[in-house]
Amino acid sequence: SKPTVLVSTEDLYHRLVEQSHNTFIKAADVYREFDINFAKRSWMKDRILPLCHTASIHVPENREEVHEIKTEDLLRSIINISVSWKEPLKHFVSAVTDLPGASASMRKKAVDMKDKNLIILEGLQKIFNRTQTKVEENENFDYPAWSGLKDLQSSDEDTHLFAIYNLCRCFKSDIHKIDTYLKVLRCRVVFKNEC
Amino acid sequence: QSPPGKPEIHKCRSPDKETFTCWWNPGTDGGLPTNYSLTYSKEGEKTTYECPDYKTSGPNSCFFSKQYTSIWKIYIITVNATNQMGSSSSDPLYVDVTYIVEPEPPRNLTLEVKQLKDKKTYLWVKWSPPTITDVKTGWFTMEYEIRLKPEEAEEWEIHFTGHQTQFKVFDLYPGQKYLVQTRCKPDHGYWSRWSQESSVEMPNDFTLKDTTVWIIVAILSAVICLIMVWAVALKGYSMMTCIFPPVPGPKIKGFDTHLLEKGKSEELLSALGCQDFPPTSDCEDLLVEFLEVDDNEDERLMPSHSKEYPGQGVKPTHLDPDSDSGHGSYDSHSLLSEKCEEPQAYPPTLHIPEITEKPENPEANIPPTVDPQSTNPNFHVDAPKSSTWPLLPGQHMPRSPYHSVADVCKLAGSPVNTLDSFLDKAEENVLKLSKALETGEEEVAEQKGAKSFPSDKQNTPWPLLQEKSPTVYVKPPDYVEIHKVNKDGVLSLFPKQRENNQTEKPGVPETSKEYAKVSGITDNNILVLVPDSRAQNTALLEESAKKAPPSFEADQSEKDLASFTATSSNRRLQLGRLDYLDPTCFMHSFH
Repeated sequence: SKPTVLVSTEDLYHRLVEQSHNTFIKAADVYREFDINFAKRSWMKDRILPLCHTASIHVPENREEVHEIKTEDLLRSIINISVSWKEPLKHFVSAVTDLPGASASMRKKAVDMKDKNLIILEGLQKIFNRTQTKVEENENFDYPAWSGLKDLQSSDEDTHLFAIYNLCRCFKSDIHKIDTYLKVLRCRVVFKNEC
Repeated sequence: QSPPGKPEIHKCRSPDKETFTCWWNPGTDGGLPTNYSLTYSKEGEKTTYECPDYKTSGPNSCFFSKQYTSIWKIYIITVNATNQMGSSSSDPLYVDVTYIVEPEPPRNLTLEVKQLKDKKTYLWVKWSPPTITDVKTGWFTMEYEIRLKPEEAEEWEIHFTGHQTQFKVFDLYPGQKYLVQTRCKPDHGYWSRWSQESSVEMPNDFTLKDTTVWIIVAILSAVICLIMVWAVALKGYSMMTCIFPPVPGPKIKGFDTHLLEKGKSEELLSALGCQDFPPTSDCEDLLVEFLEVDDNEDERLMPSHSKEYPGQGVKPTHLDPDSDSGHGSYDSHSLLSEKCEEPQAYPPTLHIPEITEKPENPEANIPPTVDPQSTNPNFHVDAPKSSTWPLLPGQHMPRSPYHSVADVCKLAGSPVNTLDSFLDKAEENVLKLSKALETGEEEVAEQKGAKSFPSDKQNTPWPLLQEKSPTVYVKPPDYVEIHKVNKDGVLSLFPKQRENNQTEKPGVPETSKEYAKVSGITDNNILVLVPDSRAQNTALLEESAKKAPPSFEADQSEKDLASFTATSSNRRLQLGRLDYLDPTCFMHSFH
């Protein structure tokens, strides 16, 4: 059931920033542990790092673009990023759970990453709906599909591990984007660019 | 000469998330000039690029300007070393620009010494974010730290300040110089270098010293006050007693202060009324004393009277019946002798007036005693007189001896002697009455009378003894004759004496008297002495006959008896007393 008390936009931003900040820390920990324990040095010479499945979603690249982009556009971008990770994170949790030698904390953090992403997505959609006079969710949201399932389920160990590595590094980068731009939006909306 | 050693990428840093620089450490050069080159490729691309700028960041470095920087993409960077002998490559490095951000240190660090309202000093530290970063729009989110230490110290004291750009430091030593630095870190990035040092000297807080002095003074004064209060509390009672001695309240006997407290006027009035009681109580005490005195006097008087008067009464009864009986016997002799002559002519008439005269005698006695007597003692005196009345019937009893005596008188036949004796006795009685009146104290007279009777008793036995002895020597044949007559009489007399004893208890002393007489006479005479007393009577009669002329004197006496019946009774009593005086006559006779 939905809560009967309406939460203010300011409180929503504060809560989302807190969630994204903490989720990034967990993702960074998982990446560091996997990179130390499972990554192979030969990948840097022999394999080409593939682009993340969210590379097609445009976000500001520098300070000027940050100033120029509109709030609705920036919200739409980060919502698309969050939505695009719903499916991959499920498979990531399964892969880490079945990974031999993975620590319990690593497994727990993987589960937290999946749950927190859903919470962030819900909050972002609420804020987006408050900024829109017309709710047109499906029309404006275009998130790319994830195509790494085949490699993740490969019987080849090297391919399997490389697939997990890519999920780790890509989610870490994307949650960092969400955290960064949520802080920009909070300064813009709540503090009127006087952070 | 050999190929160059393997170089090593030292670090890559971005100060503003828009440009970044990488540095490397060259390996050995192999003794030949060696050229170093940095090549990179991006994720998702196969193309390899060479470093765009080897000069801006100094030797062994490569600078990537905004044109060549793409955040959110990973750079794969490698450094190559080449000389004439050959070439070698470093290990590749993955670089994500968003994670290699290391900003410049904060700027505009300022230090101020300030005071709070309570004059407590503190150090206020302020700074500004680095200029390159854009904090206001949120593109950068910074966290800060400051550190400080005294100038001479070695270790720093670090304080994390969060997102704020100012900080207050308390509890610094006055007069000490402090060094302060600060630094910053973006979210998920690296800490900057420490800023340049700023220094400040903390002033000496004279005001604080003054406040401490005042605090000490206040504490000491408070302690002194407490001690004084404590001392006063301990000695308060004694001091109060010295300064304000207790004032004794008024004490009114019989006055109840509680009634005043209660405020009851009626009870107060009653209490005031109670005040009147003490004098009344005193009066009562006085009355009680008087009453006690009266009671004591009455008790003393009553027992004295009861003891004395009854005793006197008893003694007079003993004496009076003796004297009366004795005198009565004598009187009876004289009267009987007279009556013997008269009854021969008028016997019944003479006997009857005698009986009537006796009851009149006490009536005549009472009035004269009552009139002069007005005091209680006088009344008490009456009491023994009343006791004397019972003696009269005792006197009546001796009538039987009168008859016996009459018989003796008849035998004697000497009326003249009896008349002479009557006259003498009357004169003596008159003298006694005159003496009593002169004294005025009848009680004393009565007491003296009582005493006199014993004196008379004492006197009588001697003269009696003396009398008895000459009688024995003088008239032995009379005794013998009397014995013969007395034998008949004795036969009659002995039972008469016994009757007297039975009728009257005082008769016993009479018997004792007789025994005294008997003791004077021999044993044979003892049996005879009872008639010896009668013999004395006969002797008296003889003497009286010898002394006076009988005719004239006898006639006068008869006339007196006929004219004054009351006086006759007195005369009879007086005659009784005269009987007691008879021994004196015997004495005269001896003289």
